[in-house]
Amino acid sequence: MSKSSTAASSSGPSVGSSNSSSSVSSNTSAQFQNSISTLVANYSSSTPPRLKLIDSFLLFCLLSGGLQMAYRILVTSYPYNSFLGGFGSTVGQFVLLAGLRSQVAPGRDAEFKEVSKERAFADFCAASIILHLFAVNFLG
Amino acid sequence: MYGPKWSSLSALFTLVSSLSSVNARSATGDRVLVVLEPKVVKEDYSKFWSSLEKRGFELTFKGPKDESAVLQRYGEALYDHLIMFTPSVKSYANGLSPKEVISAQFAGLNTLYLLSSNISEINRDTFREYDLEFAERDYTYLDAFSHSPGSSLAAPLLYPQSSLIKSGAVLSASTLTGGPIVFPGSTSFTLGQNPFLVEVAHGSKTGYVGENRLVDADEAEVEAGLGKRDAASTTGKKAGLVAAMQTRDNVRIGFVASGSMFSDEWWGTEVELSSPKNVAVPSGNAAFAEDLTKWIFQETGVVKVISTTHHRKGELEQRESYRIKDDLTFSISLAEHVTLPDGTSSWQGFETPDLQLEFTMLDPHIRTSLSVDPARSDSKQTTYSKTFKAPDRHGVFKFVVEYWRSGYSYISTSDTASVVPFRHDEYPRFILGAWPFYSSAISMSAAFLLFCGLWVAVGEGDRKGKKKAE
Repeated sequence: MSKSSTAASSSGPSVGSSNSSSSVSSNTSAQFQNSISTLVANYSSSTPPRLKLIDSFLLFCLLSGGLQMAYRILVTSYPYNSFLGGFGSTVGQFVLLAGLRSQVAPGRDAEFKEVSKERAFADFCAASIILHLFAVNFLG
Repeated sequence: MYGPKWSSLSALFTLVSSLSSVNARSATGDRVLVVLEPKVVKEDYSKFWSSLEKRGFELTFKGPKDESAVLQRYGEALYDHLIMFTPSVKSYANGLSPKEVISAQFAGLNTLYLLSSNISEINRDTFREYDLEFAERDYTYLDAFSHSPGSSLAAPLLYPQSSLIKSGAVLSASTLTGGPIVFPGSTSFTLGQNPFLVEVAHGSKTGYVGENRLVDADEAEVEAGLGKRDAASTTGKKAGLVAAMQTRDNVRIGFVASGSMFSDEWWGTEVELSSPKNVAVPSGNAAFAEDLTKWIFQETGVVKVISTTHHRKGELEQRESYRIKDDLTFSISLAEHVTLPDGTSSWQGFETPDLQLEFTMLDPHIRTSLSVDPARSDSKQTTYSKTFKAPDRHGVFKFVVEYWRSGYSYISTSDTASVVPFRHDEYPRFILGAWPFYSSAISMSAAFLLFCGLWVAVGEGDRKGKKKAE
């Protein structure tokens, strides 16, 4: 795991350029598949594992929020406070994660030079704990 | 050994019970003050007085200028009922002044005013307080078509079917269908806007109010020349003859335009009819007088509230506050005063189909009918109840029962209870339909913890990697 991350930071740009040059002859769908697989490969090779962790959590938040909204629309919103608690915790967690991600992603130094990554994570933890306390209170 | 004691006790008991059987026919009391003006001869009305005494009333007779006549002393009523037979009296003793009488009426004095065609100015002013306007002096209720052949126009016959009004419990059914009532020397009145006044008898179609004198042709010509017209001031049914009034405090006041209708001359005697000649029927005067005095002296039409309760459906205990949308049950028990055949006073159930309950906060939020609950009614009381859902409004509500029917005591009760919303810990919890939301919040917290753990683990690995790279 640590090996791949160190490799990704150095080899990312070269892989992207080689793919774009090899896809000239194939048709559009193959081209699309090709670019997707390139994107995935690029992502898995060039993204630091902590960002991958954040991204997987973000995806979980999206799924959970989507399911709840579907349930609320299709089935019931009867204890509305419960819906607000559940949905709010998902949305809030998503927002906090996005904030954390922007603070710890590579290339962040232009914007967040003063904030260390540890500090950003500590902020995220504190905010998330408060968020979850609120959410549980709302559940009723 | 105990024989004499027991016998004296039982003698005392029978004495007390016989006293109560004589005394307690009225629901409020039996002390009657009768004020007669000098013109009225007490003996002419002996049958009326004895009928009252037979019903258990203690009569005290006074003159209108008798300074010893006092209605209230130190705030205590000395009499429960008053008969004022003083139409032409120009001034009263201090204790009987109109002001004193009205203040005693506010304190619960039931009053029967017996009048004649000669009403003094002080009495007119008093009756205006009740919103009754009387005919001019010496104007008499006359009927040229309906009177006994032997008597004058001024002693007309009133037929119950056409002249008496069925107003609640004032007159009994037998009086309303009984013999004709002789109504001699009567004035008449018109009722104003006072909603507490009820007309009990009015003139017949052929009756009118005018001067009772015969005018020959010459006199009539002279009077016509002077512009004086001997016209009737009121005609037909517009001429009010007997009115009854019940105040908000259930004090009853009666006005009879002809006091002499209670005299012995027509009390239980026969009257000769005008249209089938030489036919005599029993007069309705006695029955009418007894019905009217029974009503005024609180013997009939007296209804009281025995109890009111309210509770949640399925519970029995009365609460001070209920929750919104609770099912509430309200019950009220009513009893009507009756006189038993043996002359004792008693209470029995009072049944009516139109009793209503209002659940009120400023306005009635719920108005619903109350129905008889046979399981909780007995011979002494009738219980009405209703179960309804409390409105989705919180505040201080009142259970109001108001029953205003002419002839019956006004029933007005109100019980206060708060309607409160759910307390924060009274809401239903762990609702099945909310489990997706619960599980989402729980999984989000769990995921957060997992994320923190992984973050630290990954970060340590990262640092090791960095170290290695270094």
